[in-house]
Amino acid sequence: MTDEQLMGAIREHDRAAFGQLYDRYSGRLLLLLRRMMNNDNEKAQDLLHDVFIRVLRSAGRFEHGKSFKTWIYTIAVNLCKNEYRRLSVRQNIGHGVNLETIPQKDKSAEQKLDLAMFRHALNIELDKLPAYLRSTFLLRFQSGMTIREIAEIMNCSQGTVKSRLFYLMQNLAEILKSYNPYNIEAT
Amino acid sequence: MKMKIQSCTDIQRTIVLGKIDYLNQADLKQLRAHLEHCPKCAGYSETLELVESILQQEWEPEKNELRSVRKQLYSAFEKNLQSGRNHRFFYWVLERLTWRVPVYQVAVGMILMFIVTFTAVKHSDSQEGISLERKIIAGMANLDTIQLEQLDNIGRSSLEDSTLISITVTSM
Repeated sequence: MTDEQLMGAIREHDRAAFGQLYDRYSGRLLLLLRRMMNNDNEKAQDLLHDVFIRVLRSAGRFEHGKSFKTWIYTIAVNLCKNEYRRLSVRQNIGHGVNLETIPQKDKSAEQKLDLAMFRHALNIELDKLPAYLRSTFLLRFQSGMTIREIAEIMNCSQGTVKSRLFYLMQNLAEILKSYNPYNIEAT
Repeated sequence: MKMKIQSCTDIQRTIVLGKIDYLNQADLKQLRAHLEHCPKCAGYSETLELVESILQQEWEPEKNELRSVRKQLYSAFEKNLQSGRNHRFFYWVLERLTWRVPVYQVAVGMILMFIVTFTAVKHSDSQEGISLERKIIAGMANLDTIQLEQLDNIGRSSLEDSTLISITVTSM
């Protein structure tokens, strides 16, 4: 069943359909929300709950022919924006340096440490970004959305999305290149 | 769009563009050729790839967290369902009412009630007016019961101003 068909079933109060949609999106949304909330797990879970409550309450208003994926991500991004307005989350930054979750080519302990530092630096840089830039970046590189989908979610043109991503990537590459453990130039 | 690649700056620009959008075959070919012999640009490209891989490897959902949220959502779902049922019952009752009492009958009934009420209120107002007028005249002229009866016999409707004035004046 497609997401849109499941939404139709939710309108008919089908709990199983709701569970299925939750299973499809909760994981990716939680990761996005956690990144958006500076790795605050509790806040991210609260927001995830709110996202699905909104889905439930607005099921009747979901327009036919619209993409559910863009719709639910729009809800999530808007909730994050509201949360940013309400709280100054930047003061509560928790940069988790988790060595175990780092992927990659199996490398030495020194390289692992470098990788952890890289990850840490990336987190700091992401946390510095304003909400609209961070969500644009995460939607593209964490959630794997297309430029068109991001433009729809962020309510701006595709050109704006591209230029935001372009300057953001350039800046990140410039700042992070010295942390790259595989970068011959940097080491 | 075909781009003429020359310097490392151009290459790095192309690397970023490639992360955002698709590159054409010619640009890709030039890019690969350049990366093979330029460690600086290769490092630049690797940095961006590392950023991407760090973000993407976090895709594994954390099941305990998701389970607890799911539990809360299911109870919210039940509540929503219950309120939906209540609404449905309300509309069901409304539909039956509409079926048994057609709208035009209700409208005619309301118009009739309005007319009856309006007439009754007007009648009671005029009755009160007469009795008040009688009391004033009686008070002013110190009329006794016989004279008041005389007034009643004449009747309020046929009572002319002159008669009223003459009775009042003679009594005074």
